[in-house]
Amino acid sequence: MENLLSNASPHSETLIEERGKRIKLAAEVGLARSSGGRLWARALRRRLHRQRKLPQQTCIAKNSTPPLMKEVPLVADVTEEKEEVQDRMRALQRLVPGGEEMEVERLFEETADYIEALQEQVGVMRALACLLDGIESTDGDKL
Amino acid sequence: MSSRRSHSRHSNASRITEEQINELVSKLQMMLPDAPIRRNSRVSAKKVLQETCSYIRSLHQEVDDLSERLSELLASTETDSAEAAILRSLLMQ
Repeated sequence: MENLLSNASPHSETLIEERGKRIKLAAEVGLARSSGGRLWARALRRRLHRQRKLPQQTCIAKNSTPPLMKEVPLVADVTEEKEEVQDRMRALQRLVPGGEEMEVERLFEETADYIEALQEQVGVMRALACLLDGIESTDGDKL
Repeated sequence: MSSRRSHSRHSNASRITEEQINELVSKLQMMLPDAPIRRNSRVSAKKVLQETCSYIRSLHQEVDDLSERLSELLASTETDSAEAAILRSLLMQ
């Protein structure tokens, strides 16, 4: 994190972009580490590890639950509306890390937890931005 | 006559009823931002799922935007100032 504050040509566009990416990555790592037991967190850690962004090896235990909606029709009888529900479930699966391996009930649980974690992360980042903004705007008042 | 079930590997446990979906969906609905307004009206499963997806996408977008903003703000923070020290201690947790 130290290099986030490095001063080398601080105002160049690419440096700002670069740093933005690192901040985002740090946020992702933080997110992945925050909820140890959760399936989405494990999937996120696996992804980060695959991309070599996460230094330590975590325990990768693949769950044996069947893939959600690949072959089996979701509901007992499939009508057009149910198809649409199913489509949206698939979209949700893609948004939640590890979602594609989850069955319905688990997917919903994980989604709720994932949303909560994201909200917290956004909250922290907003607070940090306010802090920095506040520092910025009071700089002129310093003795 | 043998009663061989072609879908015997998929037990009924993996098929979920509409009722179960609706119940799960109403719980999910409570996570969405405008949950208090909606609590009394019954929103379709399709709609809730759609909004959940949009909400997650918007949260992802917000993380992206905040990352960019933080980067810009950090650019104007002097490395050896007291504020930088505060930041470091926050980020190092």
